[in-house]
Amino acid sequence: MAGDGVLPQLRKGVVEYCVLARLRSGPAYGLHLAHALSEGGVLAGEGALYPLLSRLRRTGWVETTWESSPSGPPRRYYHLTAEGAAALSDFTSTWHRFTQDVDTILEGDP
Amino acid sequence: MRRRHSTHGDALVAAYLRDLEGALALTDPAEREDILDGVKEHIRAALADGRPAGEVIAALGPVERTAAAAGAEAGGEALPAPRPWPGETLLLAAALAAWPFVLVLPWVTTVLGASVLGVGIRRLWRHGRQGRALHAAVVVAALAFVVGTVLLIALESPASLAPGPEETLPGVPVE
Repeated sequence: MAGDGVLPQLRKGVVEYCVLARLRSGPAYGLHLAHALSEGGVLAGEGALYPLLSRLRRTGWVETTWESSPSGPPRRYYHLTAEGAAALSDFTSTWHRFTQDVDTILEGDP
Repeated sequence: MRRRHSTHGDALVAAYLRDLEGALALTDPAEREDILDGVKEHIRAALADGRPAGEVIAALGPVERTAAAAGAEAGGEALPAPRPWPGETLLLAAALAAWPFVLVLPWVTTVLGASVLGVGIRRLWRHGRQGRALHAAVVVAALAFVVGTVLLIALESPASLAPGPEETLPGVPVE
């Protein structure tokens, strides 16, 4: 199916901002983020989240803290930093303009 | 029976982690450790929630895909390259500045060393791998803290350094 090849291409450069957007409402741990993003079809596999989180952390767009868990070992929580929020804001405005332009072309409006 | 399932699950997890480590062989070592730590933590949390090991491993996806994501991130243009934290140089300077005081005011060395050490470790803890200047600052600050503290303890007990007025050497008459 043609869509199977298109989706991985569309994910590139977008998934990291979906992670940041998910953290905008509050910190989350890896498993929680993986579920949220996989259910929406944004993430191809839950394992692909961790290279992304590692990179986001080193870029300074997220930071982590360890917090105890009621079930099991302590969990590493990811927090959105001020720099990450600014990057997300830039992306969001660009994304809206871009998708509007693409929609206009796809729908064949003059 | 339950133990058999657990042993099977343990073997599955161990094999998956071994394969993932192999697939990430060409990734930067610090990044590889970071990714492996994240995946291990993911598996532990999912198992603690009662999910079967097979289901957890299947949801993680093929190790090649995770490794490809690491490669794409390393060479991709979506994110800016990690910038060195500007405070790294400042922290290194503060750690070095602690040393000139070591013989005259060792408490300054201890306090400055402890402060730099605290800030540096907190930064490493929250942001993972950082630049060389931060690692150097942490090492220099740790040494300053240790040496300063040892000197402070030694100065607090002068009897251990010099003979007191009552102490005389054998055979020397007291005037």
